[in-house]
Amino acid sequence: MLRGGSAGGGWTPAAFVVAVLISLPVLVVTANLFTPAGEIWRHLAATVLPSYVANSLWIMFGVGLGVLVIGVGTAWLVAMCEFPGRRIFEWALLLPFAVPAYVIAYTYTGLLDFGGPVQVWLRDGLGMAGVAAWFPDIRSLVGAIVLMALVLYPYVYMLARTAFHEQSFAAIEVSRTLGCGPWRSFRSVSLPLARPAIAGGLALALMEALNDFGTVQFFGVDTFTTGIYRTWLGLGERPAAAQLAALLMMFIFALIVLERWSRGARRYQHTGARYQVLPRYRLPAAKGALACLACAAPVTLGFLIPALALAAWAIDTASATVNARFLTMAANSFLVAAVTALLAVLIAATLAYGLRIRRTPAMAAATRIAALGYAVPGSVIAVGVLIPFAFIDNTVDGWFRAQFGLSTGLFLSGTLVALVFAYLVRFLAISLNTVEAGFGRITPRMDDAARSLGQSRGGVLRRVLAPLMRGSLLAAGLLVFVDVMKELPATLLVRPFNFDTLATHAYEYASDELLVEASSASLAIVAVGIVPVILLSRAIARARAGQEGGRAP
Amino acid sequence: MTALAFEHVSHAFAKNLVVDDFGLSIGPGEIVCLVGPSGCGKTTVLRIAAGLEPLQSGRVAIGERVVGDAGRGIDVPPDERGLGLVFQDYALFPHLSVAGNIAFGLRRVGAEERRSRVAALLEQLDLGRFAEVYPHTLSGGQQQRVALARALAPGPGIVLLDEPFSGLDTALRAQIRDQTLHLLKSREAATLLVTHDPEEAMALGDRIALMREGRLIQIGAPSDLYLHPVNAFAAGFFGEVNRIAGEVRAGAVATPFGDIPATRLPEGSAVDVLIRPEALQVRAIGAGTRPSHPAIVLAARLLGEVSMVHLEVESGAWSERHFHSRMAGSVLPGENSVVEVALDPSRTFVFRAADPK
Repeated sequence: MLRGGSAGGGWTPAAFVVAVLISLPVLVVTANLFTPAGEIWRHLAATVLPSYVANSLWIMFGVGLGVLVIGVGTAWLVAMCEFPGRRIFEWALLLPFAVPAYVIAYTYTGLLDFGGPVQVWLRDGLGMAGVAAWFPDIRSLVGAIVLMALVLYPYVYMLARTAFHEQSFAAIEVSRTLGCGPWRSFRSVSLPLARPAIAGGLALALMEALNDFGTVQFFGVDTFTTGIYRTWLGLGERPAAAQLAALLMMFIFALIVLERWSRGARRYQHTGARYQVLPRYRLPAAKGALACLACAAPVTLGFLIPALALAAWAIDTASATVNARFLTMAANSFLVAAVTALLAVLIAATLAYGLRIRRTPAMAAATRIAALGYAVPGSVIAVGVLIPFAFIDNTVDGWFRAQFGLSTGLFLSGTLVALVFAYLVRFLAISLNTVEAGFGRITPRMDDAARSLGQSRGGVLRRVLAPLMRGSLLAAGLLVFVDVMKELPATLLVRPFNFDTLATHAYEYASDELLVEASSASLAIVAVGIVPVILLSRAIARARAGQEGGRAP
Repeated sequence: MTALAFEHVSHAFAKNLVVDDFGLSIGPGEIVCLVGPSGCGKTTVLRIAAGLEPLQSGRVAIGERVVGDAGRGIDVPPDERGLGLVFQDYALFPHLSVAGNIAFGLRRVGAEERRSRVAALLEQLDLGRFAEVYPHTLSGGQQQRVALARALAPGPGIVLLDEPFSGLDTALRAQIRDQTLHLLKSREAATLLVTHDPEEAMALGDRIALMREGRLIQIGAPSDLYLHPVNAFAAGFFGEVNRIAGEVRAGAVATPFGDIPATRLPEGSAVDVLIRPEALQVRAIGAGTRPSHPAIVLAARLLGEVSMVHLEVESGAWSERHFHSRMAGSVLPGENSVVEVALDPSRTFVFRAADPK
């Protein structure tokens, strides 16, 4: 750590204020846990709440199981075994990351429902007239679980694969010399050692599952997120929606604890010979083909089929759907994503630089809370943003009415300011982690040297640190940009009236059962979503080459 | 007239006192080496001078200007102190060329002036060929010279160097050290150089300040520290010593090689006698004479300009029987021969046994 001269200049207080501001929505929602329950709340508790809880638990259980089987299995195959196509699967297994859960839900519904090509082919092509009677209904709890697992397993895959790679060479070697075959050394050595990383990936995947709104809404599966949306917009019962959000936060806190614990436990794992390449098990032909198939299945189901279907539909419907309105929505998406990305990088740099200058406990805590947003569902954040903004609007409006007899109306709620703020709260952690990692790779001596050569704190950031971490800043901005493009629930709740983005457009078309017509917007979202996958796979390639920049002494 | 002065400076990390009531003043053009074992607080002193470590107590002045006074809440930030600083790891900016690095501190200087100053330094430090090269392609010695040029470019009146040679291999070190010494002297900058290497301190310093556990132990010319150490630690730090325990009797301490006067210490006090190896001179015993201070030669080795002779004295009341003697010349006594040993009291020090070792 770096200690400043005298104090941190203006940086530490500025960073502290920003951190507190960003933490506000999470704190507002959490505070609702302790407010007394109203009449509507008792009504909700008596009617829908049990099904919210049950469905959310089923989703956590089912998605958890699914991502564990797919993620750990493929990670182990790719990290420990040699089989045809392994090098391609290493990065291809990340591709489903690019597909938001609601997009895969719309696509598979379009493919598998009564009017979709599969049932039509079975009915007309094979003459199975009664196919609709026995064909599984994709729009169900099980369907939601399967589709979410298909796009969320990369969280587990990514962390588990890294953990398998970093495992002590010696431990595996010893188990092999002791006569353990691949299967036994997986069970008795690799798996226990990788457990913290797997738990971390699982926690992230489950946070995303709880965050999901588009899929469960579309499938008619009632969960907290749909409940919050309906209670807030449909019933207009804001306190009850806030209490639902607070309740959902309890699930999230449990996952945060799991994720934090896994990070802590992972730290003790780095033993010896990290860059040693583990000799992989060469799988015999038959087993190799099976392994290849096991890796190909999630990539095909989670990415190739939906992407190809979307592309085909988009080409079919392009003349009708890609019009001025579509371009406006694309521009809207681009605009809010770009503004948010820029601000997220600036704020992350301010916070991280504040921490670099002086890591006081208060400052560190504020930053951690500000970064909690990544775990909090978009619908919860929307509630946490709208409540204080409405309060400010009403207070200012009331004051102006009393003083000057004129109304200021809503100048925060229902504006782009509110929307961008909600995005920042949700995605700041992504830019903060990336920027902090970038700072971490630069020795504090650089700051000292620049200071002694007459640069102020701001000058150090501008002239030395920023140029040195251009790559990290860019990556941070890109990651936020893509996540904003994909975001649905917060956008639906917080957006200004008549403000459409690609995500809300896809959602609204899908709600109107215009699944094929939604494809252009969905395809655009998937295409943008591939960018972070490329970044991730490049980072993986670099780490493999052992070029990961270590902190200088 | 002083260029840089510390008065009663103390500093703690958490509750750990690393600098304890430190005082030192450096004259213009003077090179002072701050030396001590690792963790003695010397780097912290340097960082306090630069303003990189917030001043907790005491005062720091640059020339007539007080840049730090904990009592009055003054702590001038590092960018306003105008000091040149060279780091152990050089901390060159990897995104700037060699010329860009050297010009980095020349912001308030015109473009023409900047170019000529950079060119002059490149020339002076034999770096002309590397002006447009990026630092990571340079060797350690070249990087060190760039770091020095970067610190000197703004023409600071004071230069601070933190272990500037420790990253270099030994063959290169002496040469770069010489070059640095001449450059610093030609610039007449007051210099505070931190090092853990006593030999380096003696080679470079006009004066040496010896630190231990946050405290200043002794300050003076290199010869003072070598010939008149204030305690056993100082004596041992700047050169090898033979140690033997003793007791003051009749104003002297008995050693296997004769009595050493110790008139300043009270009668009967327990003492440590420290004998530099060069204080023990070995002679062959003349035929028919009885040696007054005999010793057996265990081994004798030629080390280049000097020889090292390992001696053992007859068992007696001595706490130590094994001694090292260092002598000029290349004639080595035979192993297991008995020799006469003469003691030079001016290279022998007596300290109370309670003194830190």
